[in-house]
Parts: sequence; structure tokens; C-alpha cells
Amino acid sequence: MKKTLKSKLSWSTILTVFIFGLIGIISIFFQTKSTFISLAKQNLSSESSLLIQGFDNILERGRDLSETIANEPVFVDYMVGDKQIADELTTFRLNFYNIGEIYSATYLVSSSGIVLASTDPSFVGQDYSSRDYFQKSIKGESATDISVGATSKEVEYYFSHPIKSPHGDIIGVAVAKMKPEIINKFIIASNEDRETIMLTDNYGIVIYSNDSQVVYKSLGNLDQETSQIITKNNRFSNIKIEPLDYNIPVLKLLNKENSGIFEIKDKKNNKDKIVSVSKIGKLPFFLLTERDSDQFIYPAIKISFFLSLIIGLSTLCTIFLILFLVNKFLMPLEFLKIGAQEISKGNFNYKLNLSTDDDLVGLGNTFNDMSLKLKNLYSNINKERKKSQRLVRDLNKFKLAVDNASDLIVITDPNDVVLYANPATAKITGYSIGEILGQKPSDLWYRLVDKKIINLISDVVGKKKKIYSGQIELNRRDGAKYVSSVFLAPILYKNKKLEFCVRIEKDITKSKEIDKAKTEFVSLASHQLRTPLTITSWYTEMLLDEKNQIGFNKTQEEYLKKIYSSNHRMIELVNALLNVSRLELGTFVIDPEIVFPNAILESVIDEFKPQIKKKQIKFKKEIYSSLPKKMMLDEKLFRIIVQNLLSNAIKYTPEKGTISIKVKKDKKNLLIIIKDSGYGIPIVQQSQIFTKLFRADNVKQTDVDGTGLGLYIVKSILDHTDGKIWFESEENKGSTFFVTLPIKGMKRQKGLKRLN
Amino acid sequence: MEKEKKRILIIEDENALLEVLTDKFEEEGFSVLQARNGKEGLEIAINDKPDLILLDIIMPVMDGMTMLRELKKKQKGNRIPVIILTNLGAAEDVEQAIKEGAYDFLIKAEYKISDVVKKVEQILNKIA
Repeated sequence: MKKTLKSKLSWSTILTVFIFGLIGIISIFFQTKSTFISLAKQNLSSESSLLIQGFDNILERGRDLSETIANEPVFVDYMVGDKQIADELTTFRLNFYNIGEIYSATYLVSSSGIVLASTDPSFVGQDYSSRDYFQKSIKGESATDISVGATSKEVEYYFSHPIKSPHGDIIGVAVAKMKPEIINKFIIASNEDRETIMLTDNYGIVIYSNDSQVVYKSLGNLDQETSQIITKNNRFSNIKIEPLDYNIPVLKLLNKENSGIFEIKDKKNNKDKIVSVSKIGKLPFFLLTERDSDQFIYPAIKISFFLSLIIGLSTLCTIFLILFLVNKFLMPLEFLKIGAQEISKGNFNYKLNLSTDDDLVGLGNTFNDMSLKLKNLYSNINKERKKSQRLVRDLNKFKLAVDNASDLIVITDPNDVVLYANPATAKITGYSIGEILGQKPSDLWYRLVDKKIINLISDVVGKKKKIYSGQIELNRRDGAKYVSSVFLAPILYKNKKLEFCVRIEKDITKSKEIDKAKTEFVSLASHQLRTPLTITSWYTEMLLDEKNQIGFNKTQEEYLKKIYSSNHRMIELVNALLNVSRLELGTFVIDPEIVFPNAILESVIDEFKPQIKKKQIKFKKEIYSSLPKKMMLDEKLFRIIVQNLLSNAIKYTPEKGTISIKVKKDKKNLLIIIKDSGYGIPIVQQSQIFTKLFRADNVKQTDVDGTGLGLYIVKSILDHTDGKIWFESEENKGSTFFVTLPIKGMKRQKGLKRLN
Repeated sequence: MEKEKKRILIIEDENALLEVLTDKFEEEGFSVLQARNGKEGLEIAINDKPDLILLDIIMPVMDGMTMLRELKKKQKGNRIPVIILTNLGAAEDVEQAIKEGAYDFLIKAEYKISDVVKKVEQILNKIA
């Protein structure tokens, strides 16, 4: 059987109850037994002392009688030999003492041991000189003796007393022979079933007993001396004395104490017995009262039996109770086990329903809560796993991208030692990847760079932990110079400690050359295109100035004006194109100064007033007083922004429309809102309006002139000055443009060209 | 009796521009001296001491910047005000010109010719 917790618990409890029960039963058994035995001993000794008193009384009467006879003057005289007293009278007199038929005979014995007178005539003339009682009494003692009748085979009791002459000489012995029935009756009367009562003589031979089998047997083995004495006395009339298996030293007891209680083992019958031994008065008799121990063990067994029964029953009850409790408490555990197995199989939906009303409900709830949490955890882990798989895929893609990038990408440790370099690094610098790894860029393609620049970079990235970006002239392995746009970013551990450095470099030598060529072209174009335009412009201007002196007609004057305005448009276009090329090169100057934005706005608005008036446009201006009075702005750039937006608004708003300009500020930005009720921008083209040379379809049709560069330039400027631009527009309803510029102003930018 | 005409030296390699400027300034009552490159201009400036010089930058033989530098070296005492009149608009050009002692820097295409005349008159009045 599998040793489950349940069986372990049950068996251990049952075994404990059983063992303690057994120990209890055994100890109670022995306790009870010894209590009963000691009670029995007391009982026995008190009983036997009662018996002994009775015996003593009876036997004492015998002694008294013999003494009374011995002192009777008539008998003394008779014994002295006074022949005047007839034998008949003496015999009569002796009969007189035999009251109540207690005595079978009373008689007088001469000093030579011959019976002189007796109530039993057959005794007369008999020689009793060898008898114990005679021998003792002739010496002057009062004696008691027994002997077994030769014919009757019954024990007889003799009481004798010396008869003394008036002079004090012992002249004979008076004897009373008691009928054995008197004593035997007494024994039988006091007999109880369970007892064996034995009367023994001073040699330990049973004289009488309620158990006839033991009569005339000795308690122990007789020694030779005693046997001889008994044979000589002929006490037992040739009856063979057989020993009983009592090992009681009656004789020894006789010499010391009057009584004793013994527990003995009857080997023959295999019985334990309690034996009380008492001396009867001063007489040479002992009374043995004997009981079987079984009698006392029996109640002990009975009590123990009932006790065992009770303990057995309670053990049984305990077992049932324990099984019940174990089931009650362990069943939920069983459910828990099943639940745990289910969960270990991955079935997180397993619900435990413990229908108990105790603390285990809490356990069940905790279990269910746990399984729910496990389920969530498991699904989270699953999600995480998928995530990390995705991450690995992404990382692989990322690595592929980095490996194949045309820009140099290098990862260094905080000491600037290269940990990774992509293939482009080898291509650009001329060193092999093997030569680069584990080395410092400052020993390779940065080897000729000014120490000041190296220190600056390590200061920015290493100490300030900021991104460095700049253009540096570097040297390839073969010494060839090249210009690189360098971007160096610190990767911080927990936003504190520098862990890695990512370096991205782009070889811009070629693009630099292209830039230079572009710049030269711009200068050339600027000069070569603008010169003829200037000449045309100035001559036309002069002609128009002098029209009155010259005397043009209306048509001629009209033509001249058209030449002038077209030429002017051409100049604007060239200027715009120049600005665009400068913006694209990123080489335009941003030169912020403290200016008054309000004043600039007003002046730009003033520039457009004639056009506004001409188109009869309702113009509204809302400039909030909370505006900063002074700002760090490049006035030229700020003007270009406002000019372009306002000029667009006017261009693309039909006559009698409305235009409003609103200038506000929030915490960080200046906000300019220019709203018109113009043609608006078609939704499909709204995403393109900041691209170069874009012109919306709807305005191309309405003859409005435009370069398609204005918004592109505005957006480019704002991109370089931390500003923003966006708009809302609906076709035929109008457009609203929003522009923000940081309140703290524009940042200075060095460049080659100013925008015009 | 007319007051004495102010004398202007125009240094410009582009004939058409030189003519239109000459015409305009003479019309406005100036006496115009012409030079077609920096070297010529430098000689006339030193010899004739005009009241004001209009100087182009890109020219053959000697360009405007060099001429300006040379003029600065040779002039003592009062300096003749020089206005750079060019179609170059580079920031560095403007900065350099001002550094070399130019009085002003005008971009031709962005000015009306009448405005150029006004500028010249303003400067002359200021000096006087």
C-alpha cells in the first residue's frame, strides 16, 4: 500500500491509542491483582485468627478438664492408693466430668503408665507409658496430644495433667480424650467453599482438613529424626505419612512466631495459592487456611477485561473519529493535490471547490487565487517570450541594417576602445576591421586630428554625457584627407554611467565638393543673371520717370509698365531661387539681434497696404499686448516668414475678401495666425504645399503669379530656427496658417550666404 | 550760376550698366568719371579725387576688393566714401567690404536706380 499521509496519520494515531491502552490494561491488571491479594491476605489472616480463637476455646476446655480432674481430691486419694475408694465410684465420678458428650473417655493413669480407672472400661489396665502426653505430664507438665486411633483411623485429642500427692509428688496423670467431631465439626462449620482449612500438628502433619485428600500427609518432607519419633509414638497407627508439596517451614515458624501468610506455588496442580499459617494458642497445633490465587486474580482479570473492552471500544471510536477527521481535513488536501497536478499539466483554468466551512475555504480561495495568478504569469511569460522572439528578429534586422549601412558605425567602450565596427568603417577609413577592433580611433583615422578637438569631443561625450556632432577633417590609412560629418552619442547605464559610445560618421568629402560647386554656381548666377535684369530694370525705370518729357502715348506707357513688372518678377524669382539653394546647402546665416517683433510686423503690413487697398480686402490685425517687446530674432528671416505668408494670403484671396493676422504667445512660443477667406487648398494637395515649386491646381488657373517657393522657404527657415508651421484649409472657404517661434529667440548659425 | 557739380567716380566693367548709371547721375546734375576696372579707377581716384566712388566687385584686371584695399593704402587725410554696388549678396562679401572701409553695400537688383541716386545724395549731404 502506498504510504499516503492519510494512512500514516491514521495508523500512527491508532497504534498510539492501542499501545497506551495495552500498557494501561496490564498495569491495572497487576495493580488490581496485588490489591486483591493483599486484601485477601488480610481477610485470610483475620478469618484464621477467628478460627484459632474458637479452636483455642475448645481445646482450652480439654486442658481445663484434665487439670480439674487431676486436682480432684477424690482422685488424688484414689491415686495415692486409698483402697476405701472403690474403682466403680471413681469411674462414676469420672463420668460425671464427661459433660455434653464432648469426651470419648476420661481416665487416670498410674505413674508407671497403667490405666487405673477410665470411663471406657477397655482402657483399664492398658499401658500408655510410651505416649507423649503421659511422658510430658509425669514430668509435671500439662500436655496436649493427638493420636490416630488404630481401629477408627480417626484422630483423637488427648489432654493430660499430672496428679500430685498432698506431699507434692507426682503420682499419676489425669487424661481427657476429646471426641474428634467437636473440632472437626468446628472446622467444617467455618469452612467456606473456596478455602481449604488444615489442622496440623507440630511436625507439620495434617491432622484434619475439609479436604480429605490431604489428611495424614505432611506439608513438607519429614526428616529422619521426626519420622522415628512419630513411628515410636505410634501416633498415626501405622499410616504411611506422605509429603504434600508445601514448602512452608511450619516448624521453624513454630519456634519464632505465631502466624504468617505465604504465597506459594502448587506445582502439582499448577496453582498459585495464599496460605495463612497460625499457631493455635499455646497448643502444638497449627491451622492452615489456604485459598487459590485464581480467586483473586479472577476479579482482576474481570476488571481488566471490562477495562480492555472499554479501551478497545474507545480505540475503535478513536479510529473512526480519526478516519473521519483525517478525511475531513485531508480530502481538501487531496483536492489540492489534484489541483496542483492539473496546474502542473498546464491547466490553469482548474478551479478548486472545497465545500468545507472552516479555514480550508481560505486555503481553497488562496489556491484559486494562486492558479489565477499563475495563469496570468504564464500568459505574461508567453507574451514576453513572443516579444523577445520578435526582439531577436528585430535585432537581426537591425544588425543587418547596421552591417549594410553606407555610413561608418562604430561602438566603443568608455575608454574609446572599439568594440564593434561595421564593414563601411573599413571601406571609409582604409583600415581592416581586424586592425580597428580593440584599438582607439584616435590612433587610427583620427591620428592627425588636433588634440584640442579630440579633448573637446571626449569632454562633451565622456564628461557632459551629451551628443557631439560636427564636421572634422580625418585621414584615411593611406594618409588621404577627407571630411567627415561626425555624430557621437553616449549610451548611459541607468542614465548615469557611460557604458558605450555610438559613433556614426559620414564621408561628406564629395558632397562638400558638390556644395562648393553649387555655391560657385549660385554666385555666378547671382551675378550673371542679375546684371542684365538690373540694366533692364533701371532703363525701364528711367523711361517711366521721364515719360512726360518723352511724351509716350497710353499704350506705350502700358507696355513699359508691363516690361518693368515682368522684369521685377524675374528678379524676385532669381532671388527666391538663390535663397532656395542657400537653404538647401544649409549655409545661410542666422544672425539674431534684439529686435521689436511688433514693429517688424507693422512694417511688413505697411509694405502690403497698397495691395490690400487695391483688392479692397478687409484687413484685421490683432496683436496682443502680452507679446514680448524685444526678442532675439534675425530680422531678415522673420520678415521673410511674415512677408511670404501675408503675400500668399493677399495673392490667393479674391477681391473684397477678408484677411486677419493674430499674434499671441504661450509659455514657450510666439504664435502667428494668418487667416484668409481665399481659394483654399484642395484636400488632395494639402500634403504637398511645403514642397519646392508646388502650386495648387486651383490657383494655377486663376492667373495669380507665384514662384512656388514661398512656403518652401518659410518652412526651411522655421526648421532651422526651432519654429513650426501648420495650417487648416478648405477649398473656396480659405486657409489659416499657424507659425510658432520660440520666445527665447533664434539661435545663431554661421553660414556663407544671407537670404535676400 | 549753378553750384559746383559733385563728382562721382563709377567703376563698372559692364558697359550697359556704366552707361545707365552715367546717364542717370548726369541727369541728376552730377559730374561722372568712368573707369572700367579697379586699376583705372584707382588712378582716377588718386589723381582726380572725386567726391564719391560707386564700386563694382567682380571686374577684370583688378577687382573691387583689391582696389578698395589699395585705395586705403594710398589715401591720406580725408577719405573718399566708397559705395559697393554689386550683384553679389554673400554675407562674407558684405563683411569684407565693410572691413576694408566701404561706406555702404548695395545690391543692384534690389534697388531702383532712383534709390541708388538718393543713397548717394544722402551720403554726400552727410559728409558735407
